Amino acid sequence: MKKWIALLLALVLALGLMACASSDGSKDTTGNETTTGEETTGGEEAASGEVTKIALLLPYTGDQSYFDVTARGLDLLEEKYGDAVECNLIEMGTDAAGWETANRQAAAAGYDIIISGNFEYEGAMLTVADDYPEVKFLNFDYSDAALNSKPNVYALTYAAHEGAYLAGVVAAVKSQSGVIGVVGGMELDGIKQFMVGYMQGALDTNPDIQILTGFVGNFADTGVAKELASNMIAQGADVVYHAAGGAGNGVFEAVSENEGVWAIGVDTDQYVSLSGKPELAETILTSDLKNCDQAVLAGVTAIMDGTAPFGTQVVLTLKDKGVGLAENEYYLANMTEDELAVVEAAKEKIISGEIVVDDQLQDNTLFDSYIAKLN
Amino acid sequence: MDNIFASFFTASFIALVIRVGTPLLFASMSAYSADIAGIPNIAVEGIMIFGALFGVYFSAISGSAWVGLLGVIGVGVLCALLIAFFTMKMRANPIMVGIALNLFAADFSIWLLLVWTGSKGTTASLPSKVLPTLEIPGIKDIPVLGTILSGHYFLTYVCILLAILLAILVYKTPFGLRMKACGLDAYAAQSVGIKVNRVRLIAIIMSGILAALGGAFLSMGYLSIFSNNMTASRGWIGIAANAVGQGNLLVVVLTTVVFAIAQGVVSQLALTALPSELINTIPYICVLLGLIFLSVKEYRKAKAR
Repeated sequence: MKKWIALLLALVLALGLMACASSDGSKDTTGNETTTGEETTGGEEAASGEVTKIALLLPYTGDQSYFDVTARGLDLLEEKYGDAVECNLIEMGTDAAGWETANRQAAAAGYDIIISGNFEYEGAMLTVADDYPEVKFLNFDYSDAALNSKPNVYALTYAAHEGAYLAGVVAAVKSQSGVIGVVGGMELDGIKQFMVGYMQGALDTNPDIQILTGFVGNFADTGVAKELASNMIAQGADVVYHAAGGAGNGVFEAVSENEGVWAIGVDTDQYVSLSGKPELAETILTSDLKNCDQAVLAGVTAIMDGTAPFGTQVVLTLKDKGVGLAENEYYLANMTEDELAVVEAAKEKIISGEIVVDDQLQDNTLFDSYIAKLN
Repeated sequence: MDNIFASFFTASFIALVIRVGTPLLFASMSAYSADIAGIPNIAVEGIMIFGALFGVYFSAISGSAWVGLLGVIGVGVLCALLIAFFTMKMRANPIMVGIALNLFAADFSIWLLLVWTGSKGTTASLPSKVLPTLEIPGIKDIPVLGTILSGHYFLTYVCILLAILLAILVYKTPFGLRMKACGLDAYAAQSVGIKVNRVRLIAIIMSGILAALGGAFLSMGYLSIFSNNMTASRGWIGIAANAVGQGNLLVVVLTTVVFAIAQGVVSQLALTALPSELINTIPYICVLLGLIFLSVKEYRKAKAR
């Protein structure tokens, strides 16, 4: 009897683990089933016969920010191509040792297009790209242009600093106290790129503004992010922006406890993604969008049409709608005409090239010089 | 720079330390109560994750934070029974059982999150409730003391109360003595008629409840949603604090307080231009220094004999 109970318990444990592991392979684990179910426009594409197999490799999803936006790109593809594509999301885990294997397995499994990328994960994909010249690779967010110059790699990236600049402009026009804050995830150039853009946007709008910065040290610890934001608010900040992935939810928690303070989200429209918790969502004035889903759609479309310029890299700017602000109803309702005009003017200046936003990825001393300038 | 150092000597900094320290103290008490009875519980982190997740879930489906809290206690007991079953009945190595439960919790929680909310990130879509913060009438109006003592989360007060109760239980009651006897030498304890397994079962259940409450503090008060991996190694810090204490509850609590102060210092210093990687090592360096200090003391004591 005891033995049976033990066996049963062990089985339950094992099943639980397997259930977690098996979700890696299946598609559409983001739970967004409504969009994938409709395959209305699929008809004409499916007629050509061949099914294009597409794999998207991400470390994980569920950050309600960067990776989730990217994963939504697959939904957009299925919506557009219907049965002509077979899309799979592969979650390769956070263990760096597994990334190359995951890419290699995907390439060996017969996928026609493999999508992956980001400064942390592109290395694994690019190594594998050398060994599978017939497979097409799309880097949805590259960081090192030289590494990506391969005949079967098409690399995209975003002018994240331009979106962050606009977030800085919004923060500066909205701040009554003249103090604003920004919480970063890890101290990486990719994150500092957001923070530099934000600082420049705020300083261009209000040269006397005080900007508080801080890093969580990871992308998961909501508690630490909350304490950082609370500390900023205690020092007078009344708009706090974050570039801290999932940890950024802590920023909204801190802001929700204080009257008259706004938060600005990142990567996706976080007002929408947190709509289940109104007290958190209503702190989010706007979000600095990084439209990875549109980029995945556009990139794969170009590959399927045969127009993708392999071996080259493309930066998606504000002009290309690669980045931008979430201009939802809540944002428009909470911004005055004058405030909106300032943001619009900044947007036009960036698009026309009148304002060139500093890019930490081009010059990695910028962050430090901004911090020195502020102190 | 001066005002940064000045900020360490304010009432709001002490309040911050209490806030940050609550989940750590739950974790270290959890590790402590199991360890002194002879079953090291290294699944604190995993049980905290479950406590945090189920607290949110039960409060969302019942519409009451208090029912959620009851659920949390239930989950803590369940996890403890699982550990007890494997270590005491099946004679499995407690460390292996702990590792298994930690890994299980880390992934199973995400799976449950997906099933319940359709998202792997947070429970933002669940209408969960949070436990209240308590303003203590009378004390809250006293200038400095009010900021320090009043207005904390409900579970913070519970935590402090439980710490006192645990101290009384371990040091002032026969049962506490039996717990320590089981931890020191189970066979000796058995030979004088102590029901070792029963004492250990109670100790491990206490440990499970404490860990689960630590998790619930994070998602049902301090923050209002559960997010993936939100415990962020706080359970392990509790285990480290217990290891430093070596069976002495006061040292365990003090080590936890040092950790909490260090975390508080980190969140203050994070807004300065100092490199964050360096700042984030402060708590760990503190513990390392503490360990060295204790070892030296033990060594001297051993030499003096």
